[in-house]
Amino acid sequence: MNCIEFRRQVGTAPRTQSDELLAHRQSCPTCARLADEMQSMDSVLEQAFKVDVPASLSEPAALLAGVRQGGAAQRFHRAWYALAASVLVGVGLVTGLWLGQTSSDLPAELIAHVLHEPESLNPDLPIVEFSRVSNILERGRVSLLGDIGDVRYAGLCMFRGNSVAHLVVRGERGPITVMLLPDERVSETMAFNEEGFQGVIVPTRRGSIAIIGDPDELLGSVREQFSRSVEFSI
Amino acid sequence: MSDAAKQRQFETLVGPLAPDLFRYAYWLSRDRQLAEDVVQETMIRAWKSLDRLRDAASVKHWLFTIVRREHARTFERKRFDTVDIDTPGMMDDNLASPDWNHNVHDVREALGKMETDYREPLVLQVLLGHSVREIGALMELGEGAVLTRLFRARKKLKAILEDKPSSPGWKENR
Repeated sequence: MNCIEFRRQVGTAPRTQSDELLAHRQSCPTCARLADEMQSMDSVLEQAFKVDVPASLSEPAALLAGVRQGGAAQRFHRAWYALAASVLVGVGLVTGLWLGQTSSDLPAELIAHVLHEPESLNPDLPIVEFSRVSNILERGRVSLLGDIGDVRYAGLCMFRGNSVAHLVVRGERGPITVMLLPDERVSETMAFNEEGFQGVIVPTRRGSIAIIGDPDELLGSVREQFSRSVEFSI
Repeated sequence: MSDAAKQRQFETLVGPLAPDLFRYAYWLSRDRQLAEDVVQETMIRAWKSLDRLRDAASVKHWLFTIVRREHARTFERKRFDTVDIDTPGMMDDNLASPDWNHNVHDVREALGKMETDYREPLVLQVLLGHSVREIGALMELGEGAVLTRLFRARKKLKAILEDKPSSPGWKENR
């Protein structure tokens, strides 16, 4: 084996071992040094690649539970989506007002989105780790200025063609959905009550915040907390 | 297949691969949440197809392929795979630096700056122990192209790290 072949092998697979490689290594100090350094590089690389794995995937019981629940949630999700879509189409046909009126579409589209993700309304969801909430907010172009309380669901969702943060917090009556909408502007606060939900869309300096909950829920404190604690990035 | 048998098969054939699949997905996307979602989706598909899954080797290839495709689908990214079989620069004496003292944090940062086309074969080989043939099958590349990418990946990594002074000391920082 010559230096070219040795370096080709070491450069593509530093941990490869063979009698030929060993023999060349013993006879060529320069190549031996190169091989040592490449192996050191691969050891650090291996450690670098070993990022922590979330418990949902590393613990067998959690993994199995996730798969079982995930399958069920997906089926539920699709059924709800079909139902929500048919409700919207039906309402549109009857009233003739739903399509083409951007601001009045917003509440219906928000509710359709909530129905599209029914798992977000599970009242038993655990508190989401802050790092995940923070990551979702950042990707949803939201800066956190203060405390928003315990978040039970955090997802980055496509809404009207934009990635937005979709959070759920716990209210007095049940889950309260908070959609942070940097690309939606309303001229004034819009309250709505339909499809078994009540909601409010609050204008902010850039974009708006939608809060949706049970018809009997008091949304005021969540509204105040989020209005005070979040800001949209440019 | 009974539920208990299905569960046993899942725990034997699929479950142990979940951490590796997550790390692979993470280094494709560098997004923990996305990687978790992609692997969860892959696990659900595996659960639904357990009746058809038999031997460990084909299950492994199948799962890694799903993760790869799911990731590509998520980004709706068309991949332009090259067939570069030349080996320029393989006599480069500066492949490894004289003092390889970069820490895990530096290397992770450098990996983040590297194109996925180079990072991917590296994680498959170094962390997941795939052979060149297995990497080629997964990435739909010839073995020569895989070897070239592996070589260039290490060279690129070194170049990126040399642009930045290494952090003092050697410490693990996971």
